[in-house]
Amino acid sequence: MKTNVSTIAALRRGFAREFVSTLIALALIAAVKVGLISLIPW
Amino acid sequence: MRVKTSQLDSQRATGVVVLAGIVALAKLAHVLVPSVPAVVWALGFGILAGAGAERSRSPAPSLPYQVPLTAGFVMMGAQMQPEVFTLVGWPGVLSLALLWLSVLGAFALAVKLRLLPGRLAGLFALGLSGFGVTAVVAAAKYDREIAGTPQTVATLVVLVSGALALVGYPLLAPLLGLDAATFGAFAGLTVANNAEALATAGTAAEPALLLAAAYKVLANAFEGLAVLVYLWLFMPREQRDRSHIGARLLLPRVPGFVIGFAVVGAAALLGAFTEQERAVLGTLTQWAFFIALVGVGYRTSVGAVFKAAKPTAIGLVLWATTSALVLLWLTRGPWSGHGT
Repeated sequence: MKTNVSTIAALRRGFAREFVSTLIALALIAAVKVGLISLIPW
Repeated sequence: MRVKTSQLDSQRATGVVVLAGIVALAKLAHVLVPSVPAVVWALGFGILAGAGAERSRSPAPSLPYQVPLTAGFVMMGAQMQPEVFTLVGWPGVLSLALLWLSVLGAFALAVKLRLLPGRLAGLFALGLSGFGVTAVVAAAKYDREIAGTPQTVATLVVLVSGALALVGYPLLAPLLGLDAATFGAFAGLTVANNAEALATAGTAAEPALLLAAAYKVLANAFEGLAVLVYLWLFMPREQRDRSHIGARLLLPRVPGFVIGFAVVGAAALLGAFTEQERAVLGTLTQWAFFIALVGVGYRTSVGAVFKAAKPTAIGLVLWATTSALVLLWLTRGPWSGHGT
């Protein structure tokens, strides 16, 4: 394994990360809903 | 720990910058050579960067790939349509049960034949039953005996099986004439980690990705229970009684992204998204998984596999065998082609 963090610390960080990730996803969905993101050409 | 916070922050920032750099390179390569699938570019560049970081003397930054992975999974909820339920249905639940039975049977046999020590076989079975690395981490948190080498070997088997699926399944699909629905179910069932399962399914047309995600959600719902079963089987009773693991484990083990996916999915089922919004969110999801996949590749250490070659090889052979069994069930079973 490349990362040297203890499993417990990793699990704790994991929960915080999931929360932040979910918020990011919801923000992106909201941005699509109000039409902000569809303006960007892909 | 508190003193190191600023150091951690700078490490995290480095990780974000490095990840962005590799993603940009992989995307550029994909734009220049679009005939090679995007996932191959992402994974390839990730593995190369990981190998480079392993060789360098300075500590390698860990790439924050779980954030785009989780965000992508939640956004995928927007693609939820009533057809998914018709596609998975009771035959899908049966398929999952068959996977668990075959994985448990295969590893129990390996223990009987003295090919693998019991605890390691149990850990392999836990990881490969569709729960992936997170279940291995959760088990190792409570069962100290497996923290360290067994955990690393089990993690490797899960990751390598995922990498093999990612490269092998898309090649296998046209040979066997698999339709997108069967391919998605196959990937969602037999690829243990969410990232690799979705990336593998993403190489086929819709509804492969959607089905793989549906199977992953189904499997993830049982993860807490599976970890408990593992601990009941392998942890000494006195240690188990002292830690009261049951109550502590079941509650927090419903992963956040499953809740996020379910909420967004429910909104999608209620008609919250137009076709165009679905398409834009689909593009965003693909980007999120592309970024996550670079991180997955980065984390895959090719060198470490050779150090624990024998148990890794046995684990991989058993994984391939059970996957073949599941594929046989999906294509030749009583409900084969139920989604088409």
